[in-house]
Amino acid sequence: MWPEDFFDEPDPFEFVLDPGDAEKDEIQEVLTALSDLHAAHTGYSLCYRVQGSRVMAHAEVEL
Amino acid sequence: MMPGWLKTALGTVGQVLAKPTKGTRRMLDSASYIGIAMGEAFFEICQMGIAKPLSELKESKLQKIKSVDVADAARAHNESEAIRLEAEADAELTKAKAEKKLAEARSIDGEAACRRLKEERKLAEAQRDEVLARLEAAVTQLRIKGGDLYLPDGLDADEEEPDAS
Repeated sequence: MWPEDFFDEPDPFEFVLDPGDAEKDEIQEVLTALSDLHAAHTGYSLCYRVQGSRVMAHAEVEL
Repeated sequence: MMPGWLKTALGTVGQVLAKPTKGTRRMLDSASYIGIAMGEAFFEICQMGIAKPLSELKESKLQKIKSVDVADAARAHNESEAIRLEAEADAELTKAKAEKKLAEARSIDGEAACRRLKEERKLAEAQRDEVLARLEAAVTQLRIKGGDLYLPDGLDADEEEPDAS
């Protein structure tokens, strides 16, 4: 049921968030919900780094 | 007969209880993670219409995106996440010690552990549904303001190769 690499740190991934005219807190809500979803799936929440128009998401590993 | 994933989980919990580490919480709570690869999750999210696949984003639109606002929001998220993790780390160490004591005191009964893991898994699925609803609401609000979310086209990395035979 679980893959062999289940306890490995998940791979980073890239996505695009077009903010339109949204406020900062509305954008942050999307980022936080995505992070929480990632945590529900993998056990790791996300940290983000913006590179141009793209957002790089990587698993936070600090405990 | 005990399913394979449950055996793995019980084994992991046993190991961690015997020797708590920095990652104790994640290992202890491992049964509470869905265990579905993110590639599959992205695929599902796009299928549900909550986000759009990245491949649908045109280069011309990408050039017009105002990344300054996103960078500010990302910074705020990262900062609050760091604060949350720091608080959590202290709490988890206490929890790990308590769990270890409990395990030593009553040497975990297999059936009870099995029941507990199943309950945790159910809870995790309910939490995942709640988070998905939050994501949908947040993206809906984003779309009202003319924005959108584009996620990687899933499955590629995790997709199983079809049997050639």
